[in-house]
Amino acid sequence: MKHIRKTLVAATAATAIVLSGCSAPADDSTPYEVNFAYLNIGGAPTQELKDAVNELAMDELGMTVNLIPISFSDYFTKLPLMLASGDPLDITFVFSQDFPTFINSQYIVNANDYADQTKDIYGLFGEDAGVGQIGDFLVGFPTVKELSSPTGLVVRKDIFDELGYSVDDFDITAEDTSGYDKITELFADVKAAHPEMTPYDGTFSMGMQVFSYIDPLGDSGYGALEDKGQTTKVTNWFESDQYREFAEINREWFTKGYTSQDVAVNQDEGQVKMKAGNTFSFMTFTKPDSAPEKASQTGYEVEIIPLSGYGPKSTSGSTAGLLSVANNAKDKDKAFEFLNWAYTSGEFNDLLNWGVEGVDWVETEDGVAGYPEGKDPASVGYHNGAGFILPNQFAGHVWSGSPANLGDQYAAANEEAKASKAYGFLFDGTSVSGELAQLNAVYEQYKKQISFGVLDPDKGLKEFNDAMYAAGLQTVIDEKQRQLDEWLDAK
Amino acid sequence: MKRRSTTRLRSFLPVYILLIPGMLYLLVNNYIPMVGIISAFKRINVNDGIFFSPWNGLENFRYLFLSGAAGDIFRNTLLYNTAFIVVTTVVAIALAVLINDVASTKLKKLYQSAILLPFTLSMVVVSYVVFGFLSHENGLLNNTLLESDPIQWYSEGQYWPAILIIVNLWKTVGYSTLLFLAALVGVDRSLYEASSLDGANRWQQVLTIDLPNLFPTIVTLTLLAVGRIFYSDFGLFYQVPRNSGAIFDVTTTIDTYVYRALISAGGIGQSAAAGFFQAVIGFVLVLSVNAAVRKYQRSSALF
Repeated sequence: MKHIRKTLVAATAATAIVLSGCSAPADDSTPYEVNFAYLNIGGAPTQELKDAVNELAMDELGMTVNLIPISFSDYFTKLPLMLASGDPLDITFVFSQDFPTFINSQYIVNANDYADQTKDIYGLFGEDAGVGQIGDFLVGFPTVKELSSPTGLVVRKDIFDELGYSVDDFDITAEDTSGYDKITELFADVKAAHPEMTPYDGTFSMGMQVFSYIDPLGDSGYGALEDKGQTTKVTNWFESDQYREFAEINREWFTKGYTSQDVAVNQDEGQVKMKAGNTFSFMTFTKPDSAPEKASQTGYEVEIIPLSGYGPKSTSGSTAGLLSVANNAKDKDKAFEFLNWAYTSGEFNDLLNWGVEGVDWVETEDGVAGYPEGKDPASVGYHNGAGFILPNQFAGHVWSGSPANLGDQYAAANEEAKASKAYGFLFDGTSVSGELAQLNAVYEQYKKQISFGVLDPDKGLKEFNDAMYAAGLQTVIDEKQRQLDEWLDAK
Repeated sequence: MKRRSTTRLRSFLPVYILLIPGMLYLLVNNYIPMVGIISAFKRINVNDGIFFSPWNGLENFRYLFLSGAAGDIFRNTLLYNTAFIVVTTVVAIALAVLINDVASTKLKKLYQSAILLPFTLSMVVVSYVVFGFLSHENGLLNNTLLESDPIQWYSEGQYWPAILIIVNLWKTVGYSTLLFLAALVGVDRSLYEASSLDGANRWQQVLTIDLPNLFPTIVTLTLLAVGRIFYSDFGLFYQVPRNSGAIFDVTTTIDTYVYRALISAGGIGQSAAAGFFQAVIGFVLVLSVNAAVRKYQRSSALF
């Protein structure tokens, strides 16, 4: 008797513990919820923001929205898991390097089948709407942003002016690198005047800015079209004179102490270093409104010295991030309907960009958006400010400091950028996936050391290129050339 | 006889029943997913799932074994793990013997907690602590001891085997020390008295009393460590060297290599191949070492 009771108690206790892990099933008489994953740069959405977005979506579409912010690094770790495990996900952004694998793994839906639901998007982009087409599969739609990526050196305006420089003193283009001597002079002056900070720091230098100088054909440039994509011969950019020059210029900066000596192990972006007052300048991709953007990110007014001119319009550049509907979406028609609406709704884009009107931003008399009374970058609840991640940042308001016609300026810049000869070509790397994996590992090892001049270019470049060829670079180059030639013939 | 065994079964029945949820969990979470190991030989796509995706033979293993890095990653993983096992065991035994000798129970508890503290820290935190020592511009070492002749720590591979062994020792020795300490506490104190009467000094006591009593624990810990000899602590080898390319050849291991190579999505088959290799070889090693130990001293073997 006694031990039967003991048994029962033990069994009940054990089962209760196991079942406590289970939860109640969901109720499905609620309106369709769109799970919207977006690239998160600004910060987590506040509860007010989530409520405002839900209210707006309910009013206009009869749907609710579950915002899923995903940081840049989460994209590589969290998103593949979500797609593979069937987590609730309707809309996500996809980077171009993943198109072949996502299509093969059937993570995303072919947007060609939903052309009816996405008429407004086609109206917005015209023929550029089809830029994400691989074979007969349309991966998704680009966001409204700059399509070419020039590189610039962002410098602190106060020190720049103090030392008597002006942006017009500098004349550097992708073809002519003699102008870099002036920058070396500038760094020398900064180091003398301000020994407590490094003149140059950050996570990017010229050699890593692949979108400005070449068409990388879908990855970090393992076989690329040099001269801003104005050739159809696939070559190894890392062996070119241009790359060597960049390495040598950076080597000079590093050995003279203008570049932070810890730059190779630094994980903090240039903006972060500038905000902390530790660096005078850093390099980045620029666009028409970079100056106010960097000012709001760092808290210092900045000047931008252009270094490369417009990059080529390349497939990788324009399709760098496309908005796609995931296969996990329960109702794909509704998901595409939402996506279509997201491109046209100024209010939705304003919400995600600047936050809740009245709380995080207000409309000023110039018709642009600005901080409300008493709020500034530190105290505002939500402020994203990375418009390129939104479907259509110009459907909403432009931020104060930028001209109100910024959208037109972007359009003009996109017109000016020359299209690469391979614009529209998407490389399918599945047959060389082993080599690509090995090349990634080698590139990770050398990219910062060479681009920032930590390694002596005479030895370092040879080591780097030998390692790349050992990892199968020639195979990838040949495969890219073969696919490119096929695509060109078919055109 | 029969009656005796049924009574025994009935008296232990509650305990067996208590075991069921745990066993169920192990079955569902650890044993059933083993089937997924076939992913290592397939090109996985999500709609076909694991079972219906096409086979692609040994293709997924290519990037591990046929790349130039293969020699480095296997050598590093094996040598570091061997060094870790040896160094940690020796230091942990020494510390356990020392703590065991401390007279005050308060101090004993203090030492035990203090020694376990680094074990609870995240590797990311540890990597910043190390950065505080080794940073070229602002680090402690370059600004005090080596002010006249600073060393680019993150670019010189020669120091890193020592640095990584020391960091790993500092972080994990507490765990082993406590296990050895628990074993030592169970040793009959009269043995020590008897041996000192016979003229043994402390060192001889360690060799003849402490070590033999620790032998089963040493075997267990070592066997478990050997089973993981192809696994590495990702945080230790990726975060602490701060992903510095210059020292890759001495700090890269199987796990960091797989991470760097497969940074873009879709490498399910390839990462499964790496995991397959690590697990299968580890399993074979555990069985072999256990068999060897069994020949030497049956009671000390794990099974």
